[in-house]
Amino acid sequence: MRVLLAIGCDSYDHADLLHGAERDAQRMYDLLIRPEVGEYDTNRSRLLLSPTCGDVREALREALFTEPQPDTFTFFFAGHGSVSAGAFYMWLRDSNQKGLSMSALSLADMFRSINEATPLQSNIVIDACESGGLIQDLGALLKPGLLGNVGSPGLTLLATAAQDQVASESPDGGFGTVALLECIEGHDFVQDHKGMLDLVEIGMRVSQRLRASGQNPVVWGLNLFSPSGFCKNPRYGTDPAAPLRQALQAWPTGSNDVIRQNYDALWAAYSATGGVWNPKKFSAVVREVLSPTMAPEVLAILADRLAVTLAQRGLQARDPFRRAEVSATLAVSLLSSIEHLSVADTAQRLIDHTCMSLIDATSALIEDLKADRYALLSDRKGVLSELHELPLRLTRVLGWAAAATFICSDENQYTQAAAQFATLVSLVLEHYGGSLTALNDAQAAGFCITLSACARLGLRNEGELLVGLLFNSLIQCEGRIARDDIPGDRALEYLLARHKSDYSKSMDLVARPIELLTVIFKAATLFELEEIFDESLWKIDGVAFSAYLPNSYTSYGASLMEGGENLVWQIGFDVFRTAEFSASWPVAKAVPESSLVASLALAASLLYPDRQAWFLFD
Amino acid sequence: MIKLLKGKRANYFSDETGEKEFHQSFVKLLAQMQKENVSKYLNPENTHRFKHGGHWVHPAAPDLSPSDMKLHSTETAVSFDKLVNHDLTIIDQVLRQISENMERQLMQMMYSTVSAAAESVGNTVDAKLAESTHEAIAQMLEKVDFSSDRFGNVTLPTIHAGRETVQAMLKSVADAPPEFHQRIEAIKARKTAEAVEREIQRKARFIRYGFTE
Repeated sequence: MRVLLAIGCDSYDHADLLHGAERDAQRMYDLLIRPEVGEYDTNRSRLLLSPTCGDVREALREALFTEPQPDTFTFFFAGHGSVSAGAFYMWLRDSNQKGLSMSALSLADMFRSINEATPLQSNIVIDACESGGLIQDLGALLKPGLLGNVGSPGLTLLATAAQDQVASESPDGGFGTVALLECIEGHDFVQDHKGMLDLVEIGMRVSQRLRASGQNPVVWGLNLFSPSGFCKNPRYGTDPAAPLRQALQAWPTGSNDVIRQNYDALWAAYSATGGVWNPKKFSAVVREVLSPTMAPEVLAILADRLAVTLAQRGLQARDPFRRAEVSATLAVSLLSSIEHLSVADTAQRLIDHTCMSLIDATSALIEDLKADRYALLSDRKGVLSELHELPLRLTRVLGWAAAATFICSDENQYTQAAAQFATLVSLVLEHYGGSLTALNDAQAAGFCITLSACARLGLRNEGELLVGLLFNSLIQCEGRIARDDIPGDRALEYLLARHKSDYSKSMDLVARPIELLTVIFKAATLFELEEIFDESLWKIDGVAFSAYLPNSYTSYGASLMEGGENLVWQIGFDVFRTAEFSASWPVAKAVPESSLVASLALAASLLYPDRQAWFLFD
Repeated sequence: MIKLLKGKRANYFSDETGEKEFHQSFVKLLAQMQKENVSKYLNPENTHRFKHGGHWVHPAAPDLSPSDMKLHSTETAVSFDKLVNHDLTIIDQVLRQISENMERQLMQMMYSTVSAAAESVGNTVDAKLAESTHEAIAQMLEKVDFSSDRFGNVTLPTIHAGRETVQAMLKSVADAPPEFHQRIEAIKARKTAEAVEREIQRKARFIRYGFTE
């Protein structure tokens, strides 16, 4: 059963009157109750206009605890809201600032009631009116703990608030509600590949619209246990009259156990997506949840759901590239099951999303760099850590911007991505030439893609300059670059050793063999620099370098690949000239099976830089 | 186009955890250098480590005046240009600047504390009023109490001075007549005996010091 409780409160005994809240609730109720939109039960659903606190508690009790209990519960509130003593309150007719806990509806109380009733899916929509940073406060108050433990229901919350009630209203109603209604009615596009709309998806679209007017809505929740059943998707191509229930019943339950097992880790990943980011931990959680042993349909749906939720969360990160990293990680985790059509469809959608996010992020970066040449420096307190971080950051920035030119499936996007990449390379060379240095073997993946893109796009001078800078710095440090998994607390030790050219106490931090030199040699051939490089090879006599060629590029999403070949060379042993390396490069056992696999393998190399997209050089 | 919240600057591919770990290792290295600096001036056995701030007092030794915590701080600047040029020399520069500044402050605090304590009880020698440098040294030695450890090993006082002053002192002592050296040896013998006697008296304040069943 689907139950809706819509509340609009214009009249207050102890607060200023509002004028549009009742109208917003009425419109939301009228729309969602329609069978072709929300299919909420007309007998159990309620619309309350300027009710008292007692009225609302009674309605909540009826909605949640009367048999049969709802499997989907949607709550809509328009009216005053406030934060007091660390709790968020929705104001009702008789609410009073003195004693809000007794006279208003607290969000925490509602969470507790939902937890007790355990509907499969709960949607909470709050369109609150209050001055000040209400929504930022609410964002800070929301914690996974509010939802209880693993068996708790799926819950999604969308909250909007305007700092100024007058400014937040159009003749049609509050901006937040109007934006929401337009998504539900299909006037505003959310997606067209699924029969249902998830409140997170709608919230993401609403966020984009409201940000333009200075509002920053909160979309919160990690609902992975049930179908995304907020309302039907009017933009979905199949029979618009097909009952929503039919679509909801198609939700596979095979994923529930794996979600339960990783519940805490998923929440940690959810929080990290908008905050302190650890790509390795995130990848580990995603790999665990999106296990190839899962039924392909379940895998595809779960990846889709995670993508929607985490992409929204990624908007809150300070790194504009975060969304791209998140969707790429999800896409790459599908690589080993790519032969299934449903998985391939989802993976393609995620790669398309990655590409769009990369174009957005690169555009933001170019704008920032034009305004401030130091925009790529971190603003955290550890200044000297930039000596270690900046060269790696430049590699990532260039690598991802270059990746967009390879993975886009749309001509317009390609043109845009190519132009952005050319601009970015030029800006980075102009402002950060000194930090384009061979420092860590993790740079191999980024430069593999960057240098290939330079060659492909005809950026010959830029490519030559980049590979020249890398080669010279590699010669200067005698090929002793750091290993790709150097612990953060030993990076300073490596830098000091490198500065003094004395690695005697830090030899375990030096990568052996290195893949960056292999990338440099491959690029030397692209840019016809072999003879120039050959003159200095004696200075890195003894340096070993390598390449891993897989049996199949569909294994590129695994943390450890098996069955491929580790090719190894050594300067002064089997290679004295670049040509000797080129001549010994074997015919690849495997090439990417499709352009999708190539895109995913390329993204995998940026996410897990212990593997390279060698096929780009073929 | 991505827009961040008002007032927030984008942080591209910033590895917050890695930066934190790097910074912690930097602070650890600085702490090690500071420890080495302090041990040049103070025996580690004579240094105390307090858990909270505020002044310290010796309620059972009322003759000792209360002392306050002294804050030592230093600041250093690194230009963005040096960072983006990957100039590794700045690591040494920053370490040296911070270490030297902290050491200088430690020295200043030590000498000013010793100087103030000596002046407060008139335990000073004016070298200009003395007949000669070596005479001033003799007077200085007269005014200093030697100290003995619990085993009766007496430590002679050390002299901290600038290079030129030390050279002048050494020359004056070398040129001094034999009577001066005999006098110094006598002072040393007397002060050593006094230090041992003080230690005996100190131990005597215990009940059956050193007694075991």
